[in-house]
Amino acid sequence: MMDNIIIGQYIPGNSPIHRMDPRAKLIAVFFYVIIVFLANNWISYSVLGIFTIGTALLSRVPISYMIKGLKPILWIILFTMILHLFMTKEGPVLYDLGWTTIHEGGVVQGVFIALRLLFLIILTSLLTLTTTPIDITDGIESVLAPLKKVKFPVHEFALMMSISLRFIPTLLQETEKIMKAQTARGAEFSSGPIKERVKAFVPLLVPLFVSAFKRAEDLALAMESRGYRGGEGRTKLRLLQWQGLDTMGLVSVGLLIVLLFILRS
Amino acid sequence: MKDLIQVQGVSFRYDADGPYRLKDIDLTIQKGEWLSIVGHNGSGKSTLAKHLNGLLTPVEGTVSVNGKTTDQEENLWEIRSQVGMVFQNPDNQFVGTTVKDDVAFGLENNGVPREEMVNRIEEALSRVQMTGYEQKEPHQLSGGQKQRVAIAGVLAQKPSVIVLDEATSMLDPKGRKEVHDTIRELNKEDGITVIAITHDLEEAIQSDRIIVMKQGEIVAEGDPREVFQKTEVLLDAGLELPFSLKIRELLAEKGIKLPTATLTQTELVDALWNYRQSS
Amino acid sequence: MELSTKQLAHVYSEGTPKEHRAIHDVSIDVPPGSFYAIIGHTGSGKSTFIQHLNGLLKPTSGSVHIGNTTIKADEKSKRLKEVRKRVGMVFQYPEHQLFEETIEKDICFGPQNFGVSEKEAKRRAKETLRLVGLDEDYLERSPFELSGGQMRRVAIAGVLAMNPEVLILDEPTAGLDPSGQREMMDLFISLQKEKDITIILVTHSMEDAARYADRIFVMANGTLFLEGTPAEIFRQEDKLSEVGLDIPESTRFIKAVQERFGSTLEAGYTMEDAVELVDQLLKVRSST
Repeated sequence: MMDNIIIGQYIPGNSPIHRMDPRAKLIAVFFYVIIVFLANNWISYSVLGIFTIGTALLSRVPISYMIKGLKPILWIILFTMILHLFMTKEGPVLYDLGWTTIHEGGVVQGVFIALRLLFLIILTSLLTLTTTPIDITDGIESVLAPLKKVKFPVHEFALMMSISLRFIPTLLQETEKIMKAQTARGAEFSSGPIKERVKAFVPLLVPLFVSAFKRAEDLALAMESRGYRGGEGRTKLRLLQWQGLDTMGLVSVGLLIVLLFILRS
Repeated sequence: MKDLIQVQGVSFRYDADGPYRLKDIDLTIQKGEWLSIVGHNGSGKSTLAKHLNGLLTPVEGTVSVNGKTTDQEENLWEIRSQVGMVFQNPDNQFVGTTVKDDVAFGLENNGVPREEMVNRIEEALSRVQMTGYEQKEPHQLSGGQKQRVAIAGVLAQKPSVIVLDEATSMLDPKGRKEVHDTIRELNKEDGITVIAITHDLEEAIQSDRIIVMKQGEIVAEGDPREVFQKTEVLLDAGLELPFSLKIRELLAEKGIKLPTATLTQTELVDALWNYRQSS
Repeated sequence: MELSTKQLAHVYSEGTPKEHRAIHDVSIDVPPGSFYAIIGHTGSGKSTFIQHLNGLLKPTSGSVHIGNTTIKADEKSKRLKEVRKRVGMVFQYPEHQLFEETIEKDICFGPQNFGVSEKEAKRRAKETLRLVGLDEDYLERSPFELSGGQMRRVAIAGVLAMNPEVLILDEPTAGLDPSGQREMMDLFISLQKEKDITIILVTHSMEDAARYADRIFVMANGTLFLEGTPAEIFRQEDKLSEVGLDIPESTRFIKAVQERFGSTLEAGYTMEDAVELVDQLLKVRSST
């Protein structure tokens, strides 16, 4: 069931995008998400498109994989596009359908919005496709480090994320096991009306929670006995290294920003 | 030998009006020894183990490691890096996302500089024969491998004591043997003090000393040979006799009375041979 | 009820890069009312195999026969439910499946899923709870306030209450202390004897296989490696060690005694056999 969701999945590789420091990638994506909204004419959209598709190609993530991942969100894109088609009443009328009219502005806006969404999704999923979850966590911890000054629990937040990541496969295995045990006792998880189905999950969810709490208790004890006492005075094995590549990455995002400012109308 | 851990008059209960889980325990653990603490579920053996590195602190009495008592907050971090602990469930003590990260966890907590960390991790993993698994994630490992990683995590801290709290009870025979072999090596070759909590007397045969617990008290103590003589006490503590003792019991019912308890099969066969020669 | 498999094979994630052949060519035949043990290393295919016996997994090829029901690759799941009613399965650490507010409700869960009336289910709950050694006072208590060993008993009662004709036990004593282990095995033996249930026990313990089983299946590398009575199986020490398995300690002891005493006396493989042998060897000498 997880096969169709590509956000959050990592594809191992050694492309320049893979090798970039997660911090650089996070910062780049952050700025990208803001500047996507700067584009407002054909030429600025073209520049944005070239940058996005160029980055995707550079990552060497198989195109087919990206398309597969886009499928579930395709209808959202189509829906917004159609909405704009009918709602924007600018420019000359292209078609008169009697009950409503389609304007040139509507078509243009529809296409622009669709492109904007498409670019956003491609670039943000590239972040998770080329960066391991734990690297993203490290990146976030490091990027957010200044927030410690305002008492934001950056270290705790990052540790929480990495422990969650660590336990996802364990809990999936456990889910499968409990499902099988209850199925053997005659439980059914996949038939009947929706109300029945929700009820059917109680025998799965209760044991899952019970075991998750037990694990959490054990884990806390193990962490304590290994000398865990919060983020203070802690060193880190994982080392983030800023390279020329990362500076280059950020410079190109900078260039993109400048270009968009010049080209937008 | 040098006294490493001293448990003096320790009593413990969770609630002020609850039952005592430990009753006036006195125990001295020496450097380099291999001590087994055996007992039935609920005998207090795990509660005692958790006192040894200050996860629990006594209601009465004191526990000290290298002269430092566990009831002083400022001693705790030093004590916990001296007394490493491996727990029962292999999954629930694996903190890191990969083997390497997990071994690093304790070192990171103690602020060990990164360069030294890298060396220590490498060394610790090679001690438990897990070199080459650095990048593996926990769900790719067997139970025995996970427990060895947990041991490596303890070793990297350069401890003087490893406490194994039923660390092999959830493993299959192969995993159990892997962990057992690792522990023996660490004890014999590196001189690390081992305290093994178990309900399996068979596992305790190779240790230097056995303590038998029942209802929060120590009911027998001595080297395996001495303790195994006390069949009554062992059965009373709800323990399963090791193979050679069981045979000895069954033979006694048939009128064949072997004078001393034997630890291993070979010893038992020898004892039977001698019995025949002498009768 | 007769239970058998013919050339059973299972491939996980067939047709994907993760494709993995877990078992192949497993044919067994278990007569009604017998006690069989399956031994083998972790990863030998044991758990994949037993999940076919109550329709939790469907064969990729080959077939499973339970009474007069046959399960093949293209089976409808409706028939599978019928099979699950007759073949009960106790998983490793079954206490992890408890979820109801009271022990009674939890035990009734299985029977009621299979269409048993509430009244009958409650009657069975009372009966099976007694069978596993807990008294009626427990019915109204929450399963989560019990000790680990008691929780395990309740979970097993939940499976027994389905009145299965075949009971599959996947390491039912793992993690229990010695006395708990013995009581648990005694319970299964008495069920087999009194209720004429077929029992299939998956175990790592050669001692248990030697002591309880009528016949033993040894699995290795996803298929049946050896099959026979305990005496036949444990005679083949070399073959067992080929697949990383040991003979029971009692069997090893018998061998050692025979070697030392130069004895050619017939001897079995269990602890009782060992004592018997020693008794004979020592008596022969003292009577001459």
